[in-house]
Amino acid sequence: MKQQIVISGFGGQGVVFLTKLVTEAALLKNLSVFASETHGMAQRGGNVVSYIKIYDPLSNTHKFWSPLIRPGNADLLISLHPEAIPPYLHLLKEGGIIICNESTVKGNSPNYTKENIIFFNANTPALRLGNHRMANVVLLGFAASRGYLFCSLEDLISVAKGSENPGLIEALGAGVQ
Amino acid sequence: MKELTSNETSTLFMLGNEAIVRAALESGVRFVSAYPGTPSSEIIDRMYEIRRETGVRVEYAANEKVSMETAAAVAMCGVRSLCSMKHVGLNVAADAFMTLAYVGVKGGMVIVTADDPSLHSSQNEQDNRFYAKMALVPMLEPATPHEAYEMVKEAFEISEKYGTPSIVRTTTRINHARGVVKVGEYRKIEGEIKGVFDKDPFRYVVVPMVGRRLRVELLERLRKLEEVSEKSSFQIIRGKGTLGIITSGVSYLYVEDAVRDLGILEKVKILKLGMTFPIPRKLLQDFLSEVESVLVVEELEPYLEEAIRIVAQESKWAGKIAGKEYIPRAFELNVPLVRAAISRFWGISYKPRYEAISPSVLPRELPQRPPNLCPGCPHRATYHEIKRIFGSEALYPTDIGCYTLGLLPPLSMADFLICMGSSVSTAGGFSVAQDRPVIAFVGDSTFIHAGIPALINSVFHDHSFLLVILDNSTTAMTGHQPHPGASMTREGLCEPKVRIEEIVRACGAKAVEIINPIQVKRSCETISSLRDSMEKNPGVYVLISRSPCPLLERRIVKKARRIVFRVNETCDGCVRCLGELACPAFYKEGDRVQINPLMCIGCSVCAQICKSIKPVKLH
Repeated sequence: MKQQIVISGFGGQGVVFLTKLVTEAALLKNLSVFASETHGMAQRGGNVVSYIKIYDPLSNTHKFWSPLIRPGNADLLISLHPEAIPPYLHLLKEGGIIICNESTVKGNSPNYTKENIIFFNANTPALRLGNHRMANVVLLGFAASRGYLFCSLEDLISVAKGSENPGLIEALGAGVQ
Repeated sequence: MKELTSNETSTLFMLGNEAIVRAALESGVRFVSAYPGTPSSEIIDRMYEIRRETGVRVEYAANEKVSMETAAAVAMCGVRSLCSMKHVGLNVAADAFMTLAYVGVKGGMVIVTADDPSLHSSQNEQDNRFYAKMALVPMLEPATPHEAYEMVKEAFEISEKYGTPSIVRTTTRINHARGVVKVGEYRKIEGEIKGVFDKDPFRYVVVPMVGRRLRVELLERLRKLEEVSEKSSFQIIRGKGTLGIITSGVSYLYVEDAVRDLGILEKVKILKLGMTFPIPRKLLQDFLSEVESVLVVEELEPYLEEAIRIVAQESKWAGKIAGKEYIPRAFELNVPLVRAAISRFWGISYKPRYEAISPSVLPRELPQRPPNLCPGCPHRATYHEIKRIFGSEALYPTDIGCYTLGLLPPLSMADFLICMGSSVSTAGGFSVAQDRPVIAFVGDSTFIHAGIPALINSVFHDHSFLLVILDNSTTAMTGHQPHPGASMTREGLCEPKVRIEEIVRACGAKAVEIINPIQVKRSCETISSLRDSMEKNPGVYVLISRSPCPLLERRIVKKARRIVFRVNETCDGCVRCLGELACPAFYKEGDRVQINPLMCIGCSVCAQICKSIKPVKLH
């Protein structure tokens, strides 16, 4: 087991929060993990990105050393907005998957036709739960339930159970289609 | 967050900055002071959050110089202290730092300086390793959160044993990396934070005759620290090859990946320096004697490279040394850059699937996403109002904070900036040397940090400008830290300890006006009358534009949104609202302007500018 994940979005969308959920799920499964985040100025609506590297310390594959993901090496790009895909597209390996939240703002989203991009409207289920800010967690629930993550939806729910935010479990579940 | 204060030895997953917090707690730190700054802010923020549990006294300082001096006095009483700052913070604290190295400390004192290669959130990238070399202060440079943890503990030990402050120099990739940290036991220290200050004025009062003696002692201490560096367990040698690589910090991790990509793991010998001041010269000599050539892999300046060239010259080592002609000097490194450098230096062929790119230079066709003032941000209203009265012709020195984003079009309300507080002093200079009216912008926290002496200076010298203090009652950009003039903290509303208007009046400003920028018409009238006064009677005028940061206000007051605004059918598509306000909640659909109801916070500024924008009640 080895997975390199990029999570991208804009300031305030919850990239860092998703990163914590994903890394905790990895630890729960006794996997080795490390992550690197880029934020700061970005919290005012600019790009925020995190790089997560997960591997099984018991397997024979090489461990990861460096914090950033090399171009052409990411297995998965989880993007919280269509415009947050292009700056990180070059990191994706051939056959890598992009899971992207559909934008609530119409008009200026880039068009994609590639087969490995999966759009999912996480906003509507989040709004239904009464908090549009939960769209990030809904999208993660979707990715896990479709089998794109190193861990299962149940693993993420176990992490959510340990948190102080009761809405997380519902939000993860709302991503199951 | 409970993990940070857990008692037992365990394996935790933490942010580099949290690892620094944990190490300081285990080392018995009792006092922490800092002015926030990315990427160091989480150190003081976490310390602040757990201050009651830990009994550590945590102070958000007015600026970095103040934080260092306060922490130094605490350490002088034999109580362990820590101060953290971003790289440019050490510039502010440099005056204290240089002579504190002479005087030394009694209890352990650690200074964390967080460099920001690639300028993710800074005005420059500077290599603070040179500060250690300039002040002759020991320095440790971690590569991972776990190393940051170990090195902070070691830094406290070295500091106390040798009576000197220690530096732990991080970069963004350590501060904001999350990794596994094996922590040790932590026991809360009970009781008051009290040590003893032993009077010794001929040691602690640095007049020339004392300084001369301390200078000699400093050099004696340096010799002892050189021995520490030679024997430090943080100087790690890996591999048995003849191709030598010398590196430090996060660059080491890039090297490890790069040599594997290139398949030359058996051919290289890597020296990873963890203690990078003083330089371990004997260790370097020995390393050089075992390899044929050396590539120095380090971010930013050729700090190690220069030291290694000196050691090579001293030991008459004749192999080839390469550094900055292969490794970029600007911006962060990454594996592809390091791999390309190694491949080029030793002629090792490697066909990458992708070319090495510097992350700071994105291909031109990709959309850039600049940061922006939030929907409902009062700074946007202030900029709109000032521009309406003074126009684009006026000269607008600005300062460091969220409001620096006023630089971007269509607001375009920033003309000059170099550092914290520079808005005020440069406004004075501009008013002397050119004829445009000068209007300077500074945030509340930044004004307190470095604006006050500049304001006094301008009053003293009869400069002529309007200083606009954008008072949102918090240090917003770095994560809503409190400051002496703030009326709200993450824990709730409070009375400001220091009133900015009183400071400004005491400094001698000709007139001080306070507006709430959300009230557009009234604010414009005040600004307009200030302009008239300035024309009649030039001098230093101050406008305090006061309205709380809505991000923080919503979080602490927990007030639900009652209204949002929408554009009705009478919109003629003039897009004046887009051009003048640039609120991120606005978007254009066909000929009509729309407002995203999820983003609008109901501030009402737009509705005061355009009659087609009307409130909608939320249920």
